[in-house]
Amino acid sequence: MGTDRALQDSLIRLLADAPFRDALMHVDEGVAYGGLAADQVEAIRAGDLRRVDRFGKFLARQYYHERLWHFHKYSRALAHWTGRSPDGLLLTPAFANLLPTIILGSRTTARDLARLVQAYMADARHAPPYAADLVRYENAQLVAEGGPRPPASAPPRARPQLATILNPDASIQRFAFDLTAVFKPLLAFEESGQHPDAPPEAPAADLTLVFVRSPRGRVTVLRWTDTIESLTAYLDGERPLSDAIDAASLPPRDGLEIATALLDAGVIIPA
Amino acid sequence: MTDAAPAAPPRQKPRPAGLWIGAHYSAHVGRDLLASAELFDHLVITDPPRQSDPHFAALRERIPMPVHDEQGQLADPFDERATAALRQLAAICNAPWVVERVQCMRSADGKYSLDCVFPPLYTDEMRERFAANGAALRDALGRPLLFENVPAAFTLPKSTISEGRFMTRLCEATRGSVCLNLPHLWVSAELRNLDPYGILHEYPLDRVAVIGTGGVSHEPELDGPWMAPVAPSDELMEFTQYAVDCCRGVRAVTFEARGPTLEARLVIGAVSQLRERLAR
Repeated sequence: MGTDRALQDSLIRLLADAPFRDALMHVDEGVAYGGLAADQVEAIRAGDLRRVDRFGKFLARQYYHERLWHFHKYSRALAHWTGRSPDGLLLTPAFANLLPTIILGSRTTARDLARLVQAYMADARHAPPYAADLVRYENAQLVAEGGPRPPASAPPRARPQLATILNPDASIQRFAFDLTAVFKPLLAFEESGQHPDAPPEAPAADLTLVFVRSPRGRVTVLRWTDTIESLTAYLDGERPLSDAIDAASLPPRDGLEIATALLDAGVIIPA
Repeated sequence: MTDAAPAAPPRQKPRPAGLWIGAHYSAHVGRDLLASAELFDHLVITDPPRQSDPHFAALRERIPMPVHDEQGQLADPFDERATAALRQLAAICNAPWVVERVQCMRSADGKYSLDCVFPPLYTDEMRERFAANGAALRDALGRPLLFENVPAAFTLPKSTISEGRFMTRLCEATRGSVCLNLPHLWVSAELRNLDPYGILHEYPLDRVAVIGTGGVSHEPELDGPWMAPVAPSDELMEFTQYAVDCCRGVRAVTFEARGPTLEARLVIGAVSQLRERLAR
């Protein structure tokens, strides 16, 4: 990689990684830092660091506004009744306090933000019983999207001899309501602008879902069924898929089809 | 980096014959755009249409649809997957041209991404990278490829030439054309206390095939303007007319606004305003 391209990467990191930005501002003169040669450190510091810092914060607010807008659309639609939309968090002191720690796209920042969203939405007025579950569902997607982004790739196809494991980044969560029942009505009310007096109801249910990012880079959500649980329980990264399918008492063809779907979603990955 | 040269007075002249006036397509306002289809000479596509979009096919029948790739990064070679996806989208839209932003917002290892327009260092090394990757992409697409300028919130260290000179040399190396985004240029100028008219004249104006215009709003965090889905101010409308007058080869003017909060009346109003203004 050329030297200018490498310096460009450092500039991108400077804007994306607030702790790195802060450290660079305070490093001693003439010292190399964070992969930057001393003269590159000086070149960056010779610029308008105040502008760089302001732009970094602006980008952080914009970056997470887009994510809250996308992942928390159901809670936003519910705001007609609760009076509180998740993106309102970005204007609070709690988010301002988070800014110096933010690394755009990192899973740690996504988790920190999810905690803030949960606290911010917790005392919303007139929230239906499922509102907390809904925020947890949306937060799980936010966190699943975080983390390093390798280039998108086609998922491997399940083969009997393939050894796999449950993706360590997959998050399995239980919910007390069938949230899927309110998704369409909430968005339809939002789009039409016509709202009934009360928000749609979600029936009580024992719902378990798994959240993960697929090899193609998309956040996927699947129902965590007994069949999937029994199959993945036997995946240890050493024994081939055919053994796990046998151990889970699944017909071989069905087992491979399920494994293909799980590889496609990123729930299981080659060992 | 830029000499704030006094702007030459705009020449009042009729709108160039055949100049297209259009906007960006957003699916959630598709019905309204279709109802006002006669207003649009082109509609820019940035995302692949959804199969459930009931208006896309009817609009495509009536209106040319260029493709603007907002996620591409010509600082690095396009992989086969990204090239194939863009080629497919351009084919679906029968795109008369494709636009790539001159931006570098993702680190090469994929670890950091700004998800926002960010310029490259304006150096010869980076220009060579953009030229090689741009030429390869243009050949793979088999369609005209235009380069779009992006805003700079601050002057990047180690840049050795201005953004306008960078674009000039990039076009010379690739025999390419420019999609001149005026709100981007305006924001760059305002945030760095430079004269937008002076920056404009650093661009290869004879290579500008498409002009993008739109609105900006004040961002407290930046203490300055940033692009926003609002109508162009009088100042930006004046700047747009001036740029159209300066760019003799310009073929189209696009109202640059899109996003989930965009309202159809804004698009229709702004495009109507552009038609009236540029017809003078």
